[in-house]
Amino acid sequence: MKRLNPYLVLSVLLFAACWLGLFVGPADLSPGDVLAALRPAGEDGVSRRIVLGLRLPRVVAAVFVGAALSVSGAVFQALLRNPLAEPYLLGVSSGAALAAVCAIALGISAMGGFILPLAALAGGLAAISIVFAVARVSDRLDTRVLILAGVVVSAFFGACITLVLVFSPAETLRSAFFWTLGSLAGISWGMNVMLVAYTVPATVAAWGLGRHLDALALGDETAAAIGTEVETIKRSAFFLASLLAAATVSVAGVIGFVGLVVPHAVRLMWGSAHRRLIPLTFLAGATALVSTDAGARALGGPVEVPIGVVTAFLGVPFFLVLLRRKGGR
Amino acid sequence: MSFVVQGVTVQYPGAAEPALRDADLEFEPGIHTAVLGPNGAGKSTLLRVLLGLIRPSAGEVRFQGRPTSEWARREMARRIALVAAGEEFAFPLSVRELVAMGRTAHLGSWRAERPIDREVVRLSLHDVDLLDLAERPVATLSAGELQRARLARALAQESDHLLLDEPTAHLDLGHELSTFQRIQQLTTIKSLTTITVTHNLNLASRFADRVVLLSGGRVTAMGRPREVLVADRIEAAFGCPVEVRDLGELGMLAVPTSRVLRR
Amino acid sequence: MGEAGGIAGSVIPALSRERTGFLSRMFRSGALAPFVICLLLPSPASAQGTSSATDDLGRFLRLDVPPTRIVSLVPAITELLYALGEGDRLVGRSVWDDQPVQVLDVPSVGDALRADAERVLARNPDLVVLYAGSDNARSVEQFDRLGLPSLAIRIDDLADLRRNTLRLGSILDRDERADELWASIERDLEEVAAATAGLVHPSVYYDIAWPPAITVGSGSYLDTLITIAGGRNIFGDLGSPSPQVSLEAIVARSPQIILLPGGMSGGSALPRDRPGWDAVSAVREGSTRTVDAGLLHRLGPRIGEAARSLALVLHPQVQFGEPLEAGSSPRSDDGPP
Repeated sequence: MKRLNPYLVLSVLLFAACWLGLFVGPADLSPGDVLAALRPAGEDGVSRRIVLGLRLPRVVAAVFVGAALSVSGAVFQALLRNPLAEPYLLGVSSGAALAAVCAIALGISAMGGFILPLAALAGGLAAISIVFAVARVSDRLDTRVLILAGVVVSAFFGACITLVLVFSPAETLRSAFFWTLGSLAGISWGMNVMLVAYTVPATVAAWGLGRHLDALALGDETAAAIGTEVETIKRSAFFLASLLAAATVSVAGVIGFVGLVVPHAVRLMWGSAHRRLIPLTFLAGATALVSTDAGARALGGPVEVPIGVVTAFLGVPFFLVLLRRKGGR
Repeated sequence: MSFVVQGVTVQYPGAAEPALRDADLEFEPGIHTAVLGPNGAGKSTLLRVLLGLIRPSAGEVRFQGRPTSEWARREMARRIALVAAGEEFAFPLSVRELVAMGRTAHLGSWRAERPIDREVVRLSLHDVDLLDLAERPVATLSAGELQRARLARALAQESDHLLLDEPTAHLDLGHELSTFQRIQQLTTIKSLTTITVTHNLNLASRFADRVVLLSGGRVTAMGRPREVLVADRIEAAFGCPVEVRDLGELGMLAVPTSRVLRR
Repeated sequence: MGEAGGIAGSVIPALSRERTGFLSRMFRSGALAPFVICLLLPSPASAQGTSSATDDLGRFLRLDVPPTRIVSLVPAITELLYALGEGDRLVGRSVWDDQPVQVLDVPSVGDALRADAERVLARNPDLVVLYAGSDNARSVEQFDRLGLPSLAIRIDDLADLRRNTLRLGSILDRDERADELWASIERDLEEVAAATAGLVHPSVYYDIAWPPAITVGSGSYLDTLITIAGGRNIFGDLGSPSPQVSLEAIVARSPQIILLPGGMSGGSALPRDRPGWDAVSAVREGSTRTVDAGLLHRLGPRIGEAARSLALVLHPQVQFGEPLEAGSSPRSDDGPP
């Protein structure tokens, strides 16, 4: 069987997934309705408002959140030399969650839709800065210390979150709970612009690091001998991956599993060379999240199933199948 | 002069003794130099100091007249290649992909792989007889094959200096010999400056043009193999009495007679 | 509409039919002046022909005409709508809205918090009412962006209930009805308070949930209800609406009666079955009483009924003067008593 061009395959899948995302939703719109609503000269009815005002920004958000999470996961996996690494390992999600929970508990998050994302971003960045500072042993970034620092800082922030919630009314608990489950609902075009502004340059930079990430995956010494400025690359990788993760958490909450499984699946299919892995992971992650979001909405029912739950339910069996078929290359 | 080591002392944090003590060395270009000595003598440390992977606590290492601290990694990788064990294979990798990493220094971050790069990789694989194993995953290789792959990667760097750290550890007799033969061949054909850290006195004496003897972090001797590898020198370095035989073309053979602990 | 509007409304059409004669003009300009002036005066409740309100996020909403397609994501508002007789305007409700029974015929648009904007929009409403919490902050912004008028409200205590009743009346242009509705709610509550005023108020622990032990504090309207119904909430000194308390604190404060909300799905274990709870004397003596959660855990027009039922639980012998007024919204005979 001729090996199909992976870029082509993934691009086609992404394209199809985006259309699926536009066609699927709780409001009963036929594909014809959706297409009509997309036409620039279309009439300004309920369908148009739903498709352009709700579904389209959601699909765009899913594309870039999925892509950002996956690229972040891929870079973390290279940096930490561990295929089990994922974007939230180093404290981004707990820092962001603490800031968000505080904003919710203090009641300021209700004042404006931008407050929560801003707080979450600040919290996430603060957490990873702490982790970075802790792991910096005499000007070198020790990756083992990095993982430990990440775990410890996450635990600490987690404890702080619990403390805040204990003294909070039920409403805060509920809000915090749902925030941590992640959601792509209600992401505005403004937030999308911010997301794209973070994701695209960071991905391009990560792609540029690709060759060095390959080298880094072999070990600090080997990488240096091959010609990689190890400390510079480690720092850059760390900040790129963290920034990508923080950007997604601020806009969409904590969506787990995508950043772990997608880069892994792409590796199993098409190898670990990062110059190829990064762009393929971008496409695959976008496709994965758009599809699962469409799936979550198609499940319908009165309650919107949080996206993080659906990614796990769909992702795990898919991944297991992939593992069995490819063995461990 | 390629490498000049001046008064280099390396003390690892928390270690009782320095790994290298006031070492003064010069490595002649274009020849194969073997670095010998017992465990803990500082051989591996010396190699890493040459590459600038370790900063000396005192003294200076100069490569091509410039201190190693002033060399950028990429520049250095184009001039010096390292063959050492101790990689982590976190992700599946094919032999070809491993060897292709040797081109990193030439390509940098943004350039795409060119036909010349692919050709260099192919030639490197050919030079170590690994072409037919090129697509195999690295995890399935034997120790000997992996060592050859590392060598191929070093060759792909197209450097004129080759540093090897215990290239024949874990290899059987036949493979030890073929490894040294290969190193010698490449040194000659490509006019490399080769520095090999090894335990194998016999093969070192057989194939190296010069020998450096290290003991307790100090350079105890340097010169031609037959000058350096004499019984009392070996005894002093390794801390046990030996009988030395000169086997002519087959090099020197040193056999320990009994184990005497010496500090 | 006020009286002035009504009369002027009947006169003006007549005027437009008149021929323009000198005398008629004099007559019109002179005699009609008072009517014209009355026309220009703002009517007691709102500017004529427009409905407006300020919600609890400080947003001012003005509509040209009162809304006719309302999506309500607040059960209390839904009940108020029906209590005002305007239930026909409801085109969408949240999944939590179940009172009065007719509302079940209205399509549900999903959860009340983090509402699905698409489902709301699909009902083509001209007004959405939702709870002003952080969960809904994004929904509020979404509705703004989509050009959908929305009111974000709080309804946590009795003051909120009053404000929302009057505000709803204002936005529906039914201010008088709203005033009346609130007045009758107030009367019901006062009546219950009066009936229990002279009685000894037992100390009460209101068992919202367990584990962990969650009760009501002074921030909750339930605390006020307990007082009105002739009880004393042992945790009334805590400000939070739903504080989490320790078993030790409960034992120390030794309530005389434990109130257990019944009629909710997924109830907690009975106090006597909970480990360590026999340290509470009320548990040992079996002084636990069930209250109607369906009635009590909803702050709406039936609050008077709720107060009365709670009073009966605390003081089974209590006598009430008159039958209830408020909350007697049209409900089917199968409805709750």
